[in-house]
Amino acid sequence: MEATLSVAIVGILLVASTGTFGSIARARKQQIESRTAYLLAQQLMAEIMQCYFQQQGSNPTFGPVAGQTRASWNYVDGYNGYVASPPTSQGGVALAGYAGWTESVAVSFVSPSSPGAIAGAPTTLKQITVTVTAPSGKSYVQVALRSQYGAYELIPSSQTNYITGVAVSLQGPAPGTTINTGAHPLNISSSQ
Amino acid sequence: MKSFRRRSSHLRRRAFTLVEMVMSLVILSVILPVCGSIVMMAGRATTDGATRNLAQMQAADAASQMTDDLNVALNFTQRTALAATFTVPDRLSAGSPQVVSYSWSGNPGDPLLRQFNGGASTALLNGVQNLNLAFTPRLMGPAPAATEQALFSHTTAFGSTHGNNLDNNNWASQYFVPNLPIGTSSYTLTRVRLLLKSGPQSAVMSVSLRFPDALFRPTGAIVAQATVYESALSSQYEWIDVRFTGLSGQNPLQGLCIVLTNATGSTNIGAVQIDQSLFSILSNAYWSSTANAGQNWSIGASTTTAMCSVYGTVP
Repeated sequence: MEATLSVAIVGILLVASTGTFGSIARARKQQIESRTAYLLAQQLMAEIMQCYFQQQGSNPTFGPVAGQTRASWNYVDGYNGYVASPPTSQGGVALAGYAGWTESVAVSFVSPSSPGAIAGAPTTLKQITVTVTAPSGKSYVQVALRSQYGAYELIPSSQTNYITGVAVSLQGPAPGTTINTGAHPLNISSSQ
Repeated sequence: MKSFRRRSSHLRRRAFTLVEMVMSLVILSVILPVCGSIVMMAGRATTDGATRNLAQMQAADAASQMTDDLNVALNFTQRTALAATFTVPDRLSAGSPQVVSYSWSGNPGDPLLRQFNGGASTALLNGVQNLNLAFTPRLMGPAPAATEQALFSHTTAFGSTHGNNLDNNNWASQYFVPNLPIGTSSYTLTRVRLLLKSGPQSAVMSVSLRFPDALFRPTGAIVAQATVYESALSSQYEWIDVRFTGLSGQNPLQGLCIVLTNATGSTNIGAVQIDQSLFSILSNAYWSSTANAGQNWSIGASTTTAMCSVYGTVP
């Protein structure tokens, strides 16, 4: 009887302690996952944000042009409906260590006076939504707005080669700590 | 006596027997190591998670600082997969931008270095295993006008120069093939320069570009045509530019004939200077003439070449 009780007590303590460890581990995993998702979304968002508001030319249409690939999209709505699993680089190469991850993009016109409201007709403001879904099934969303009259739409008077986007992939000392993120330099005011 | 026996019997029942004690010890000796190893495994997993979390956080911090700087980059002077050097807006009230540099040696374990404005490099992240920077360049702004260049030129006589008189029957043709950079897929012909002089009448000369036949003689297929008024010519030979428009997208392998004829109603239309030699003057250059207003052209000869140049632009 006493031995049974002692085993029960030890068992309860053991379950409680391992449960605590498990909670800590889950919380840390969650932190890693959310950070990874945030940076991954930032990389894709940076790539989109450095694009033109709309297709260049006299008669732009909304959405990706048939036959074009991600590498040739230089207008934000080219990314509308884009889905990749696993996530890839702009050149279409799958990012290492992201098996089971999915990233998708939705672009829509929104009201300039009320950016939270999706507009049914074309406006001068677009909302870009990047959604990254982790293998756990949890989705992380990043939203940005892009104006037709923003700094990225300023065309220099003479032809100049600008660096409009930088994709950064950095692997730290521990395995599985590769960071993929990006930047979109706003270097319109200076020659390259 | 009876009550003592009952009490001692009661006391004996409340104590552990030796067998119970031994059994408990045996059970505990089995359970405790199991518990210990489970706790150790959980602890190790937690520690590994903490280490990985910390490492990822440090890498994320370093990457964030890099992208923070890159987002305000003005002018890149170095762009490789392992390094980037660029200027950022003035942070020191110095009146000019400062230079920021990020670099990694490429050797796993070496640190990611950051250098600000020529100062000492500091390790932004130690033990880096890999770094890859991919830059997206974009050409913006209107394309500059293409620079006109000579596509064919014969301005220095190889043999002796002569005047070739032109009238309503005597016409002349110079075949040429444009000399273009390797890989040129098309070009735009902009003008032809000829060494011309006026004749005794104020007539009108027609300068046309035509496709040749197999013997380098002009055919009736006119590509473009322009007019030269003799009144604008000097009595001495001088270089005259004859401009053409709308001649973009020309095939760089296609030779053309510069044909000098009289415009309708003109008779004597001046003269063009030619270079004559016993030997071939230029490759892919053939002179041809007619004395019956183009009914019969002489076979193209490489020993005669009009003093001329052809200009155009290459995209």
